[in-house]
Amino acid sequence: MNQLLNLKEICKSYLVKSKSIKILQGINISVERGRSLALVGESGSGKTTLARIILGLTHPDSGIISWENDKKNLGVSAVFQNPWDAMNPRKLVWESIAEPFVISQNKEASYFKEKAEEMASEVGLSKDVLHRYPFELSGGQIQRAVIARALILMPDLVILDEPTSALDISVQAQIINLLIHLQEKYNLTYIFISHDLQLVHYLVDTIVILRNGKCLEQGFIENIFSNPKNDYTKKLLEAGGIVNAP
Amino acid sequence: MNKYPKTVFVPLILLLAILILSFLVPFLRGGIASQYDLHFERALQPPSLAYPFGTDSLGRDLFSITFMAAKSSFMVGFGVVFLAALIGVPIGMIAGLKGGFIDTVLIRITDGFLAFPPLILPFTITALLGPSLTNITIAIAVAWFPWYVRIVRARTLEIRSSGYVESAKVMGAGWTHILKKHIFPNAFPAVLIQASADIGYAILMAAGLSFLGLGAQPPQLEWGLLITQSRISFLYSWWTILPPGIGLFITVVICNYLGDSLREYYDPRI
Amino acid sequence: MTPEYDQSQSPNILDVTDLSVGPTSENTVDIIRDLNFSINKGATFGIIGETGCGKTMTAKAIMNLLPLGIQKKTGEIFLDGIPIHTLPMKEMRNILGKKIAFIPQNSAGALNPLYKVGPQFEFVLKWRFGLQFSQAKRTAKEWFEKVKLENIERIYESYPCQLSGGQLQRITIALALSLEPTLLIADEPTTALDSITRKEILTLLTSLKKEYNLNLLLITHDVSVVQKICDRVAVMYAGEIVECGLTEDLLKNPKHPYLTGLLNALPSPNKKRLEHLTGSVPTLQLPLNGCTFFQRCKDKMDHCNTNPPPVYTTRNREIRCFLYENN
Repeated sequence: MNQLLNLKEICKSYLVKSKSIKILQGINISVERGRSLALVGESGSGKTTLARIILGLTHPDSGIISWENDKKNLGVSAVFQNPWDAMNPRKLVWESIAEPFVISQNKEASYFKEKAEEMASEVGLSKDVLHRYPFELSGGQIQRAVIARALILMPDLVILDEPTSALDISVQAQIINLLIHLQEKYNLTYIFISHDLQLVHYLVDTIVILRNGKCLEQGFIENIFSNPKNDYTKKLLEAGGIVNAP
Repeated sequence: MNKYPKTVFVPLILLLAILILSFLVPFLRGGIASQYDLHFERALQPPSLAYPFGTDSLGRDLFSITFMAAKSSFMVGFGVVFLAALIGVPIGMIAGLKGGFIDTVLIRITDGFLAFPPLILPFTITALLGPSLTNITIAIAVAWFPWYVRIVRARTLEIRSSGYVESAKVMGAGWTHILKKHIFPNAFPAVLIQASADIGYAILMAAGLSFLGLGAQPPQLEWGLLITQSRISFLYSWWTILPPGIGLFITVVICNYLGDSLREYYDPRI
Repeated sequence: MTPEYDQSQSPNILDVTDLSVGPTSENTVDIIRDLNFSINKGATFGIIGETGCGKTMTAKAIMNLLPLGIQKKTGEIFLDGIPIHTLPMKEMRNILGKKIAFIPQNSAGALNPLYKVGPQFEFVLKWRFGLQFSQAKRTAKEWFEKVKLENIERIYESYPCQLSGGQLQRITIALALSLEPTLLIADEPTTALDSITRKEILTLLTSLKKEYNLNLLLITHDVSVVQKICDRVAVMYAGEIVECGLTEDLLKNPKHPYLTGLLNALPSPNKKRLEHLTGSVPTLQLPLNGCTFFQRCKDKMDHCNTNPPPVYTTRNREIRCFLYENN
């Protein structure tokens, strides 16, 4: 068991107008290296908050997060849903792709231009796209650049929050194929957040079903899809067009 | 991003032209331009070939005098805006970035300054420190900086919650990096737009204060001061009040045009 | 004078012939070109396509609500046999909101954020039917029931910002239906919703469709939505309809290479690898030589690049592709 990340009894609440709203209520998840895991749930299920906790953008109220090797030499990056907000509009695309280097090594972006160009060609971006501004690119191109930026430091874990839901169907397929290819090539571990069950079924090994901050079911996707134990899960599968094998 | 369109360059060049003329005209006009050169015998002469704008009650050549006064007016205008931004932008960024208690404290102090009617503060300061162009520059800047605080704070709050700043945090960026690379470059256009229109209004306000005797003092040359100096005579010598008035009008229009062009240029991206 | 509608004569509720829409300036490619389709009475017609294909613009053209700088260049539009494309705006206003109702994509944005939703609904009913206050209130609440909203009293007195996406969508559907239109146009009615809510809204639309014998034009990019609710569907690409036919038939046996590629790109567990379409939608420039899909087509032939393909009809299917020339 090559455990990359383990979440134990994670709880989080927010104060809204002096009322405490429980976003996460005792989440227990384990992520293995090299696998893909999907966090599935409707809006309000807490999946985005959970992702932000894993990324370190916010902290849980209680619970334990343990990383492999205590997170030494472990890189985590993210790809978010909205391509139009993902990069600084006043910086050229290659500068944004090079930003992880700029932050980690505290040098100007120009030092890392070549590395940015290399990564960009890995994700299928032509060189002329690199010297443009984000608003000049299509949604698919921006997401490719965001993926390049997320992978340029060779992370161990990548969190992808609905990476293709803002894109057209034909572009979605291109990005999905790219993500699969890169995972195989660099032995990445993915955590996907998605509500698209068809996509999830195609993409991941393990799935975690979230509802109202609680983890309803989790396990291998074949097991959950063919044998859902929870009524809500069944409802979700039906709505997502997953036909249960008897 | 350095490719500003013609609509931005044209007003900038016009302003520069006025400034250059401000130095050039007295030089070209030689002796008759000096503001200290009073010739009562040729006072209040209507416009003629020798004196295109006529002469004022002290016998000065209005043509040269009006252009020379542009210097002071511009200095105040740019000075006010520069100072107001210098004070307001850092306060706004810190308030927006830190949030919480620091934000509340800074905003309340700023609001305190906003509570003063914009002319009262200069009155008070000149009452304490004496009337001069420098003092009213400081006074107007102090009355105006709250607007820059607000603009920058609003932009900072917006930018803070954007996807690219969140991504930078995931990459491990500290606040210095985020401030330098993301917040400042994206908040600055809003400041620039406000500032360019404000230059015109600052010049106008300074002229108003000089008109009241609180700003430029004779024998300094400033448009507001020139207008007040022609108050007595202008009913019969209409040419004495027009040139500085038109000078103010044109300058404010150009500055507004600059502000609008900059806003159009930045608009799709802000 | 609003023309009287002779509902017995035309078999179609909507006929669109040779429609083209584009920017007013001469040297640009039209956004919509050569559009021909009809909606039978009682049927649900879907237009499916990706961003920028022109599907929303089609709806706007039908309603004569094109944005500034864009105009209808050619074509005729008949609503229940009566031409509406030549109507002046004043008369068109008698049709919009009465004969044609529109459910916009952003349902939250369709409601005024400053007023409670109940009173907004009443206002519309008063305008449309001249109802009295108490009558309007009753009718509005009845409609809330019909779209299966729970906690009607609370929702009635809520502001749009206090309601969820699903609730707002139900309200806009109710609003559109309460106008008792001849034709209902829905633009991406389920895009912003969760999968469970989406299923509920679609089920709702299906049952209301039957109950009120609706004529529905549904615009979407989601194939599963079309599959569930549309009788016939037209596929748009870069401003043209490239394939049109019965939904079940079309999705089981796609003919146009774009549709085939699109359906292959949809993830499903049986696929080992998604076959994606290479490239992206082209930015069209004059002159238009040949098929707009040429660059990305796997089955292209030489002459596909010289002349734009016409529409070939075969067994209740229309296909804009040279591959079907001889059928």
